[in-house]
Amino acid sequence: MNPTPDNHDQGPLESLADDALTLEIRRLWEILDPPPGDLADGVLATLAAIDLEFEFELLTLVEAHDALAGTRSLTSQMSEVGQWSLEFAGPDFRVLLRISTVNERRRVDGWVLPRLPMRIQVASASAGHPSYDGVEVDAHGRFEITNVSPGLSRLWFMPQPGEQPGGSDDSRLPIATPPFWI
Amino acid sequence: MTMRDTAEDPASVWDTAGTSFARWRAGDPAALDELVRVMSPILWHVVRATGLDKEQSEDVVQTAWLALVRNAHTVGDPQAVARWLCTTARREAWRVSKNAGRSTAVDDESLEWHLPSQASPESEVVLSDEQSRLWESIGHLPERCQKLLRIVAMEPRPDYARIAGELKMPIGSIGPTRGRCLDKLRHELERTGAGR
Repeated sequence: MNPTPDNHDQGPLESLADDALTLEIRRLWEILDPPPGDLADGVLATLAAIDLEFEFELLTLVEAHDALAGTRSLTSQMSEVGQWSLEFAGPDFRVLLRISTVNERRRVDGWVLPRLPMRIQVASASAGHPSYDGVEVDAHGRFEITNVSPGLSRLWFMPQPGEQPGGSDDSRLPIATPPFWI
Repeated sequence: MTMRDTAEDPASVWDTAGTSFARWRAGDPAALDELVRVMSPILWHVVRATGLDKEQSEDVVQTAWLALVRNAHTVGDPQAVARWLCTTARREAWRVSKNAGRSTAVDDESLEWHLPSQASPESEVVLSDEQSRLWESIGHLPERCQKLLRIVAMEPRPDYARIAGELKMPIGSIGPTRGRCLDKLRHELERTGAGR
């Protein structure tokens, strides 16, 4: 009850509220048991590696009208092309794509045959895996993705959980097109 | 930005993580980098708090990230990503603990749960006097309290109901138990403080 001014050891720890005291415990552990210095780098290396071997089924390009898609490597050239179409095939379905240009942005109209319940998204080819939610195919197997940035891209097809008879949510792999220019 | 800096304000780390995750899902690959750098140290502590050794903990942290990348579309609200990661990492940690031949993850005796000795040569850390006092006081708590306090301290906004399930404690008991453990800790702090 007689605080000694020189002794700052006599700190306020015991008077801290629960959350503040918990935070002090956290800080203590952060000092005593720091993560390995290369922890985040190791994680990033692993994630970069699985980008390359991320498990998905790959569709095959079976047809490209205008003969440019999938082979051109210059976006400047592609921007001159108004509209083109592609067809990809996988074991369970085919997908027809028509890509058009609106104000220098791309629009993708697609048709999945036969119609399967899935969500579809477009991602940069370098992304390596699906990320956001995407759009759903409608009752006729059609979908549209608007306002897409031109560039080397993939379409991802994610089977919808719950609609596969007898299948669990994790039982089906995402399906992707090979990279192609949009 | 150093890892230590990111750990200073847990709540803002949570928000940073949510923002990075939203950007990554919107197609910005660099945002994943930020997310990994911000959250990996937190996941490390969450996993270590379950009692796994360092090597296993690194593996579990990696597994949690793989799970996120593969299931990013299931997370829903981007602001929930930090909790999603912590929960996934903790669950994986309990699973690894059990697979290592331990019948239940809650059995204090069966876990490699012990405080690292500050005197050991490999832990050349400098604690402030207050931190040394806190450390000493924690060491006097029952192991169950030491463990619970570490678990709830390492996650900024812990989901008590989930943790209760994982620790096989009654739902609703974590909060009160944490309070009792903190009271014991204060008592110890007063005792050690008074002795100086």
